[in-house]
Amino acid sequence: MAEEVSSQMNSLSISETNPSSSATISLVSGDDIVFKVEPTIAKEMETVQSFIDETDGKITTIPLPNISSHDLPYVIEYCEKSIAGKITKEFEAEFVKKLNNEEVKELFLAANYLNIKKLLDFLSQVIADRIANKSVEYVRRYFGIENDFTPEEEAKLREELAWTFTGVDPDDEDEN
Amino acid sequence: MESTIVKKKRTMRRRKPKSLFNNLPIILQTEIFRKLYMKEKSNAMCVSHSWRNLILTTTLPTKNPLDPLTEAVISPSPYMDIEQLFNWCSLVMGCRIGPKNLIDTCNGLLLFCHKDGQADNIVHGVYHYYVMNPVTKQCVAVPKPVPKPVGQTSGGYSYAALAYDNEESWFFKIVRFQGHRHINIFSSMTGIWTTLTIYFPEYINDSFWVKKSVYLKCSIYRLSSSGHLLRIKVDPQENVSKQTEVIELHPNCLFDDSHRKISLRDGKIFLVLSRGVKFMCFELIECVTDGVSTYTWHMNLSKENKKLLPFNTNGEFLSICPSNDMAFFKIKNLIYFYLYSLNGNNNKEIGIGMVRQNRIVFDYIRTCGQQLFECFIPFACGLEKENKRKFQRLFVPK
Repeated sequence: MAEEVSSQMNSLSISETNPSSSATISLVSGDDIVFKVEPTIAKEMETVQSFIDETDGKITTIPLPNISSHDLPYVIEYCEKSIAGKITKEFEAEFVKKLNNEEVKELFLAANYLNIKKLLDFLSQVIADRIANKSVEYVRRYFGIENDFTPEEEAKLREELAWTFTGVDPDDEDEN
Repeated sequence: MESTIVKKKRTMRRRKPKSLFNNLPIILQTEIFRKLYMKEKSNAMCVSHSWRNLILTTTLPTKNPLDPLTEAVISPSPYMDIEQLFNWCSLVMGCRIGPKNLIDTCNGLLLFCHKDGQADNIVHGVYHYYVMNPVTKQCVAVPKPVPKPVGQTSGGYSYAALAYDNEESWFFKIVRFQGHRHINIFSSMTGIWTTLTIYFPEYINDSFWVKKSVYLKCSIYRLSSSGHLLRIKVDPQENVSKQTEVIELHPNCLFDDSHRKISLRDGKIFLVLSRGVKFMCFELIECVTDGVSTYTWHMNLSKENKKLLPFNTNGEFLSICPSNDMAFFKIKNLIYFYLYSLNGNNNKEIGIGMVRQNRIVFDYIRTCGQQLFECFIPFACGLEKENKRKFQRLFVPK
């Protein structure tokens, strides 16, 4: 895992050194790594675009202190696909496969910060899918949530909602 | 050294998922819950207090075309299975109940008032309200407001209506009419009763208010014998004068021998008039400008049929079932239906027939008569507030 990340970092720092035309936008991650992207990519990120608009396009270097250099490439990759109209079920499945829980969350937060509706929508679906059709116990374990109901409360709730508890998937082995 | 590292690694692994949800801003958590279907939400509600509260307060059931949320009961006879329904309700409440005890129905929920219900904390002989969803097999018993509201002397029951719409909220409210000047509102979210004062002009207060209600978009509607439709907002308004509104009926409905019924149809208030040989349907159009509502009645049916004359002169107009285009009348101990066809004034056959005699169907149409719905969403009640002095869930046999 650690190796994978560092190799990714290398490839990123290479792309970072690419000389670029003045039209590109520089996104600076929280750990001070600069990513040059096409203006069309910036358009996908509402937060970035509004920053550019506010300064009449004079400023093209945008600091993104909340986003790490580890997450930003994923965001850019998704935006590139989105512009190219190549967001398919297959691409999304592959995209998610690469990510562990922590990364899903970081990207989700990044998508929220950058205000990228499509990515936000997609990732919330990804997380929702990890809740759907799983038993209550599994969901608690998976998301690390403490059961704070008293046994009476829980019994009542389960009684109240019994009608809907059918067809839950058998618990998988915990992922990751 | 090495062993501690290994140990650390393992706990890290185990802890990793912990952060996936807990530190997400509420708005993002909501975004995720919104994506869940009804059944999945229901499941997620059992995970923890915060999940349950968040789902209940920020999301509504998701519409899924394969999985309808509320459906009108429309069989050839809309009240075919009614006997079974009352048997089930009697079983749950622990006493024999009939249509007379059913005081309101609203989007799939039933509201009963009875003093002989049996449950652990119910004192025999004390009136309770019972709210039921027969589809999701739920029943909650709610005692009347305590202490006794001002001006209320008898310990008997007073008319109440249900306010529930799963497209608005998971929770229901009971709106109890305390004369014409106050309403008591029980919210299943808070588990408590509150009282609102309502002001109507004198001529409205002096008139009789029909004990049938329609709930639509946070308001209860009732007809008054003065020839008006009363709109009572269930949520407290900043300005007391905005709490209620008086809506004039269509001029055609104002004759002394007019028989009027209200119901809901396609999300609008639906008014039916039966008078002499005339039968008319209207829908209420509300137009809001600068926060002030104006109302007009759009007539969508006007028919004449000589066969209606005996119903309107010697009989009684009982109820309507908009999904079936049916109106019910009673002459002596017989119930007749009139099948109007709402879709334009075409020559589609209009039928009049007699309803097969069955005590429960007869009583239902005569006393309650509201169209029945099936609601596939479990209603919700505040979990924390429940105790024996407030309300309680009844055990429901499967």
